[in-house]
Amino acid sequence: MTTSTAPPALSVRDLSVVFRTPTRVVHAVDGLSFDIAAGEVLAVVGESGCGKSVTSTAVLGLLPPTASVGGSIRLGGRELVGADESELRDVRGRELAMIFQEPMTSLNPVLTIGRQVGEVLRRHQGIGRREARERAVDLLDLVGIPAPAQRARDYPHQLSGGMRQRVMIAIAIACDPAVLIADEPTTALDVTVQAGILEVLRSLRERLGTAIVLITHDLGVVADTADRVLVMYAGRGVEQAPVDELFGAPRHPYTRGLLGAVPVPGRGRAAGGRRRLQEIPGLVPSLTEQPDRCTFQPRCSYADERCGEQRPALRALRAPRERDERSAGYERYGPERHEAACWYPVPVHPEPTEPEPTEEEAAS
Amino acid sequence: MSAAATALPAAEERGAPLAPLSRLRLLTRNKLALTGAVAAAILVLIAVFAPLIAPYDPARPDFTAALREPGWAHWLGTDDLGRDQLSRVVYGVRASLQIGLLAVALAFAAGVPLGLIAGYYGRFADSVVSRLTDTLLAFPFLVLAVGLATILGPSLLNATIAVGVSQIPAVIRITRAETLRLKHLDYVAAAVANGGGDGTVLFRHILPGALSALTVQATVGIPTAIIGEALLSFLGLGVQPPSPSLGVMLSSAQAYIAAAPWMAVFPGLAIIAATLAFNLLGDGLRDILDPQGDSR
Amino acid sequence: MTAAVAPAEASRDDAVLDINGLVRHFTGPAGTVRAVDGVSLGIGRGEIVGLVGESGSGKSTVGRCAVRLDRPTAGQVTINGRDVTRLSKRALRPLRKDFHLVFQDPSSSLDPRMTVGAIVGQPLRLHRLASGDALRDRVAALLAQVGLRPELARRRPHELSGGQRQRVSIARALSVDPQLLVADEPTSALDVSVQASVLNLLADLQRERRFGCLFITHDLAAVEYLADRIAVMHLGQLVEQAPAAELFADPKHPYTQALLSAAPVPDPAAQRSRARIVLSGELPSPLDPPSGCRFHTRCPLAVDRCRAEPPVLRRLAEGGGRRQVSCHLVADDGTAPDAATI
Repeated sequence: MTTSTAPPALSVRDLSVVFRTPTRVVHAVDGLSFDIAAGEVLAVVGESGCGKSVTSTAVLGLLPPTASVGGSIRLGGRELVGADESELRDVRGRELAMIFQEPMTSLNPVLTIGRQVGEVLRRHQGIGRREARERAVDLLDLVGIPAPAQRARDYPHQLSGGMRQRVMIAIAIACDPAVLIADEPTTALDVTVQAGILEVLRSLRERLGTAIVLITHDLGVVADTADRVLVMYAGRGVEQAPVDELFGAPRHPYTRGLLGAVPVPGRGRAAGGRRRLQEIPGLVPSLTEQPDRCTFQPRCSYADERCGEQRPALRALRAPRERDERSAGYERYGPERHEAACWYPVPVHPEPTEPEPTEEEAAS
Repeated sequence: MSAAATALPAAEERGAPLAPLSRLRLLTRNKLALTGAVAAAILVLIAVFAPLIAPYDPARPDFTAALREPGWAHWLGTDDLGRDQLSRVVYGVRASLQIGLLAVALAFAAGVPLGLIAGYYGRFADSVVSRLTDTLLAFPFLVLAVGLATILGPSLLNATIAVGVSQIPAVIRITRAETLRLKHLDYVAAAVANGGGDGTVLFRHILPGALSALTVQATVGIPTAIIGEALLSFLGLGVQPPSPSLGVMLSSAQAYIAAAPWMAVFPGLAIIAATLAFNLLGDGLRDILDPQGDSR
Repeated sequence: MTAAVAPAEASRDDAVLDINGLVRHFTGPAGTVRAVDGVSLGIGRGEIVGLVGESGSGKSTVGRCAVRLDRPTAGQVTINGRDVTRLSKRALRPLRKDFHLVFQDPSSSLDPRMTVGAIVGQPLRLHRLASGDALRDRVAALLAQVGLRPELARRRPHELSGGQRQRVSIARALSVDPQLLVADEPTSALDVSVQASVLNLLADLQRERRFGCLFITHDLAAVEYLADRIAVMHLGQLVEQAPAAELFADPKHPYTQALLSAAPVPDPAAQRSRARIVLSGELPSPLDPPSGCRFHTRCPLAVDRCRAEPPVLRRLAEGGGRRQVSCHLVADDGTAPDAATI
């Protein structure tokens, strides 16, 4: 399936979220654009404070009144920015669903899980109690809960963290939403449990064609589950590419730094000694201003005067001349899909040592 | 304010911390707390400068001017013995605040060490202190006060002791709860790992951590004590006439409630003002010194 | 003791930490939680041992017992050849300069009311190793060693970033030059790029100072990066112990195999081609651990013997006796079944 022909399930254009308090102004999201097609998993990665969770909250229309939202969020042709609360309520749960990091707080402790899944069905689809119960059991089965008919009679506290997260997914997909936003869905879970949850997300994408926005800080989870990746830094999108492209040939210096910072088993030790992990010097900037420059410039070893004066837009990069198997993703998504917000994107095949920005690279 | 704060969870992670808002500035932004603080400050000033403010001797009767309505000579009128009501209210506020502060100090002197011991050492110490607290709570305040007055005789000091003792259980409970909360925090474990003994842990880490909650408790303890004093004095178990006290004044106003309502109204208003001022301040401090906001 | 107590690590003279048959049970209204049930582990001078396991495996309890912030129910903890298992709080105080720990969450392990300088200097002050100007100089030097500007000494923890706070915590732990450092999930609360700098810092300091280190984590990539030897914990017991590279290259215990296969690596191509071992069922409760091998309820390879007889952590002939595993299905010569093929 190519995303260039099908209309995107969710389309975000130039989204900005500003929090105003009496003492300060915070530009939490600044000019963010992305699309996601049906059956696609888009991972939004970044470190804390980069705006990834604010973005998902904005898409759901759940930001507090202190936030002002600009730009456009279109869900299947319907504009969500500025839509009134009743319209949003209608959209949430039916076309747009969300799962959170901590499933326990989102479940009602005094109702059985079968009842809670069934309630959502009855509210949005107006079906009877008996039918709702049957469908709830089907949904619990779909998300991989063993013996679903029996577990439907359990209360949330009787389930483990992983099972609760599966129940949350069942509730989220009850009305077959076009888009599912998963905000750090496995961060609170152990790796063996995480593997199962990611498996469920992958199967949803395949069986129901749900578009999934996966918000995470874990690059392993991204590599495991995502089709495409959007990297955020300080409220802005800095790089967007198919997953193999992004990991194989990261073009933004921040993405490179992030990938170099993660220890990878087997790569850590070279000839007995420890290879140092790459560090990104400096701190994430405060978001109190909206500078007309690259926000990564103060921490970037490639930056020059231009980076400090002009803000780079997220723009498509040309395909690398030499294609190896890692850039096969280009064929699948079309060459326009690798984008970076950088005046001097890092060359595809950099030397093993840290390259200094040179005249030639700057010109390319 | 809190909505914005929760929406920006990562602000502190950005390495650019919030502009350090001093506690005082937070106080000025909380309007109710500010009102309470100003009112409490005025009351304290009245108490401290009572001899300068009071136009007459509060205890000297003047039978030629008995039961005067409020007017130019006596702003708040006079009582049945012709004593100036304004002067008596001013001195009454002084007595009330004295008792309030002393009683709270007494309650803290006894309650904080006991609460620390119960919370930190647990087990046996905790059971002993808890039984003590239960015992104190089992005595209604009035029974305790009447008992003390019977044994030691009615006086200002004994009323203060009664009011103070009645507040000990609340102080123990708050100190104990705070100690229990703090002793499981990593930084207290770190102090032990640093080689700190019980003294270091209790007085360098736990007590300072509990200070916010204790400050709030002290602030809301004062109005309770003021009302307690008024009640005891009203019943004749506290301040003895002719010494002025808001409770004594209310007590003597009873007989003249129809003829001279001002005798009851002004001391009553003074009690309400003092209670309200410290309660508002306490509630405001609770918001500002919220341990959650504090430790972050 | 019903727990299978493994034979002790061959007692070495250079061991900074020797844990032998450690048991820690917590008794509550719901019953007895067998958090740690017979763990034996040694750390040599200048060695980094990684202790990995999922939540509820008891790994943090082992760490707290190792530095005697918790009192073991049974077993023995020896630090620098001295048995500290039953020492009183008072008797432990002077010994505490030999061992210290770094906590997971730097925002809760630093007293919010103290300045950074006072926090870092507290162990020195309490052990009466420095005071006045000397103390101030030592603190400044320590801050410099962990990569912080000396003027941060006047700040309070909330004015620092998460990474800076963890550096303060490390500086405090190392201020008295301990021979043993227990690091309990020191990077789990930090962002990816900050994690890298803290891991690098720990590696650098350890190389410089040669302290023995117990590195407790659930992050397999981090432990592989930092540790010389890795011990895997499951439901209060060790299931496998091996040099880091060997454990990752050839995990013997089915649980280790499952754990390694479940942790996603940041490499999409490799991730797609990996065999995954899906564990069925739930992690059993430490209130009522399964009979026999505690992993048998979730083990894809379990046979009748596993349900009946608890396996013992035993040394394998393979790898010069540096590998230990607790599984009936692994032969003494190291031949192990592969859970992924089931």
